[in-house]
Amino acid sequence: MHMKKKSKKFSKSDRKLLIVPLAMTAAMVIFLSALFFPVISDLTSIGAMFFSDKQVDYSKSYENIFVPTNNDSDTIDASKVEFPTINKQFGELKIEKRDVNTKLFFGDASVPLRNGVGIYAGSFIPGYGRTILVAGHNNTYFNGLKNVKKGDIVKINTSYGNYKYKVTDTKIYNANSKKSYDLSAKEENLIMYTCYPFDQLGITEKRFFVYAKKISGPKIVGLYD
Amino acid sequence: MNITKNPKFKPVMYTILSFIMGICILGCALLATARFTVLNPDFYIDRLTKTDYYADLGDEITESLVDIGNASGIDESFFNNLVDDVTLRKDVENYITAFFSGESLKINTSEFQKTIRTALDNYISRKSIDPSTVSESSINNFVKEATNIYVSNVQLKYFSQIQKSVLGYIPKVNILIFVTALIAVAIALFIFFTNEWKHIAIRHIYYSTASAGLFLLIIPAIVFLSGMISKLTVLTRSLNDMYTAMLKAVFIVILVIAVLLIVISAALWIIHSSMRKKASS
Repeated sequence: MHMKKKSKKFSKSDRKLLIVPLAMTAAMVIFLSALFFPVISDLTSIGAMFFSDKQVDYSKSYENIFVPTNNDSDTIDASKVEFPTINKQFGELKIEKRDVNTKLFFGDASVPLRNGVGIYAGSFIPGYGRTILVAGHNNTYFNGLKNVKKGDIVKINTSYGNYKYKVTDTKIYNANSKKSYDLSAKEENLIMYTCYPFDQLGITEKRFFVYAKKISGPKIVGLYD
Repeated sequence: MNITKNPKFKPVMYTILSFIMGICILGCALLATARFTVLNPDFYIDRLTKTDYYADLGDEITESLVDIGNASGIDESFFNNLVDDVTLRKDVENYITAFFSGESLKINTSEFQKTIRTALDNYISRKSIDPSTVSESSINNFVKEATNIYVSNVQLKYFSQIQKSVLGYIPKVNILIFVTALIAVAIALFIFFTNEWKHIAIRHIYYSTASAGLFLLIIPAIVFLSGMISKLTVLTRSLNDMYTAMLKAVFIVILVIAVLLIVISAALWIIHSSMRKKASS
């Protein structure tokens, strides 16, 4: 008697029904990748600009790296200086006679100006031997500038040193005047500015500038070693 | 020997046709997804309604206005409820509709400017502000800057640069959807009617739908398992909400189409198996 063969769980035909679609899918991936490689490559490059493992912080909080110091030396090595990055508080600025006592930030966008005064990122920090351009709002932290006179002392305290500047002049310029500051100056100078007139409602077209020269504080050395 | 009479020729030909049909089904599915999502204004409007986009956008505009308020001697409290949610939503929806209909993307800010000027007048009288400190040009500068902030936030970033290209693509996508669907149907009919054994024809059609379904399944699987969408980093929270919601929706649509194709493939498998049993008996 001829015994019927036990049917296998998956016949050859059933295996084909599983394997062929998988093989076809793989072939599609290879074929389409090769065909659209330039487009995929460009899209991947563009896409990489919008994706990051680092989470974006949308909050308006800021980091404070300022720690008061008693450093009285004439110089400080660059390796000992924690250079601030944008929106970090790294010091304080005071004009004691004129009721100016505020946090000092690096950068002059909304976070610094909301919480204190900020150094324009295209200028320099104290100790660099160049121009330090500081902005602040006239109705908040730089309101005291309206009373500043020649000879007033401005103190900037940072974690790496304490600096003093003497006011040499005040001037009023239009907001987009190029004559108001010189970022290429080769000696350390401080320029503070704010909207003018003070206490006026709205966005004014003029700016009030206070110019000061450095009188003490450590020079940062070893910058280009 | 006539190659077409070679018994190995027909299976090879049908397999190649299946492959081409699979590519067409895949193309049609992806193009249709694009047409009914990222190339469709209703998709944007619907997605934006389902996220916190308008709330976040309102907060962002208010924050930026507070910053210029600080530069203008105006209290933060002035800006509470200044940005009206209803007007904001209307302006964004009009912007999206104008984008897809090829109209100018200029935003009508007359209502916003009117609101801000009225609020300023009330603020000045409420605070008994000295008229000598109120200069018409400074107020105008403030209103102009505030309006610029409002407009730049309502306008979706990069949309004005891509409007012409996107509108050019839409008719081409419509044609391609039709063409790929037509080719897929034509190949299916050819396979079916030129095959003596109908269960073999069904099998070849099954190969196309199954491979297209598997391919489509890979795309959202990679995206969702890698957590790619959560790594999106866009300039503002509101835009991040918007693009995240839209990307998720697009890949879910692809996933649904993939599942549909796999279900169709399963049905074809069953039909093929039952027809094969009948044929062999």
